[in-house]
Amino acid sequence: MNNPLIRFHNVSIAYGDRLALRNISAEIEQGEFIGIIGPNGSGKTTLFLGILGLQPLFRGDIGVNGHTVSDSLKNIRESIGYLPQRDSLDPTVPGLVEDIVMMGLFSTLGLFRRPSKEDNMRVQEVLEMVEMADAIHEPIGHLSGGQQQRVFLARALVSSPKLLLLDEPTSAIDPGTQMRLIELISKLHRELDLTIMFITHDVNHLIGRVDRVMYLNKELHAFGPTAEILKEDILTRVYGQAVKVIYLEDGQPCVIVSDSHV
Amino acid sequence: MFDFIHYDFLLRSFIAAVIVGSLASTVGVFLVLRGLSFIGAGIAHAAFAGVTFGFLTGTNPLLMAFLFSIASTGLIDLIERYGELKYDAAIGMFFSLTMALAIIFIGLMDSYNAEVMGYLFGNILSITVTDIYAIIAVALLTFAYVGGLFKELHFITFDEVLARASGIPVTPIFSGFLLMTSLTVVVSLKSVGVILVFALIVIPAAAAYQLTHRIGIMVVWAIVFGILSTTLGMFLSYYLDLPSGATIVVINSFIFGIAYLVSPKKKKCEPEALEATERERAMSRDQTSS
Repeated sequence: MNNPLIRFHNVSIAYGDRLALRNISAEIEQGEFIGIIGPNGSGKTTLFLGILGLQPLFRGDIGVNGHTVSDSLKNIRESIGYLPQRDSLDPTVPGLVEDIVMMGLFSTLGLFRRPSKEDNMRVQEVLEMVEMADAIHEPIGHLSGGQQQRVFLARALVSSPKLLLLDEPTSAIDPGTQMRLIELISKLHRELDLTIMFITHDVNHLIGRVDRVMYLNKELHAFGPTAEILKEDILTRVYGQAVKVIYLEDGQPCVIVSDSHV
Repeated sequence: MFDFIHYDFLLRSFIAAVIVGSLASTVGVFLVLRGLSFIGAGIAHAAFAGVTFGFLTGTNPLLMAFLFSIASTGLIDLIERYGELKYDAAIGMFFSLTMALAIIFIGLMDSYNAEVMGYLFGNILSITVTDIYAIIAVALLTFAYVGGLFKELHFITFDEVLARASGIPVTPIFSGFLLMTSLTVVVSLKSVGVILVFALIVIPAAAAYQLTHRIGIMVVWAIVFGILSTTLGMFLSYYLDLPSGATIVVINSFIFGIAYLVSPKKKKCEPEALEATERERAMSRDQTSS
């Protein structure tokens, strides 16, 4: 890999006197779809916070699109669309769908400046991409969880980022809506040539969709093609429960967690 | 009814009522939405400690009120950020500390000072020309700040983490907003008093929240309710000889009651209806993609 979009160089991140991530080194190419798995508290979200400069690096550096977190955070943030976990936002705050999506353009607009007609057209365009254009004037609080996630995905996409960081976008929504959302993300990945890092607790969401899987648990335990990582022994280590990979009639693998501890 | 135009003191009170009502309710919108309503009370009590310190030491009470409220707000912010303590606990500590300081300063005074008590309960009919100038200056500054950074304040209120991730300078913008809140509280003290200024910040914003899903419209409603309550309160106080601060709060609460009763937000869809809408949308999407 000569010119990767993202480069983690010996990255460690600490919260006070506790190391949350240790010596992460990896490279991700433009256009790759990366799944990130690991148990709770394994540092998955912390890795995103490190990329975004929201959690200072204890050691090492992260490069995105030719810039590094230590030198040029502003340029890095401009090239990223971020969909945080749902608990960071407050859906009771008044706001229409169009207002929420427009927020994704505020950093490029700058302080004291109002959105232009072109900005409004861009908002309409990305809402069409996520199939939520008919909800443009609806209050965000009136939408279901799955619909809200589509709107937040539109907000992450509106600034035309190179890299999309998705932190458990399918949490707290029903399985059918989850699958439709994942299909949409896969479609956007293909059509927009996006690089995507996707945190999930459901490894079945990754099968057949992502290029490589990153298994984090404070350290980078494994990083490789899906077929190499989604194996029973590795997944059993990830979750501390016996995990089986079974094959469905169509040959598609499916990961199930048994009720026996390891 | 309009004989107030012929009395300078009533005209001054009217101007103060309009500006203070709109100012306090504007900052109130963001404080209420961020769950920081109580900081209004914290700042007011710190300002009162400053007022009493000013009278005790012979310095300008309003300047002292401003310095005390700024120091208090800054320390509350620092404790919340670095002390791993939530805002409500930090505000509660300073609320009590500054009130204790005010009581000590009053105790150290040689004699009873009626003017100090005026700041405690407020009297909009005692506004002077100098007070009006101070109120106008703070209003111009605050409206320019909130108007200029409206979209950023909305973003921070909705999702602070994402605002930071997007490169919005969250800490300086919100610290500046808290500075405007401190100034607003200080210039409102004489009109509504330490105890009741909190109500002027919270209630119009809470009433406005009942009526809209757009933050811009919420600010407009809050300003309307703020002005309505302060001006009506001022007139009722004058014509019925009632305490002005208390009258303003009662009117505010009455407005909130009406807003709550007529709120369109109460007409929510039943969960089954929402699920059905979601299913219809999903089916429509499936049909489109196939």
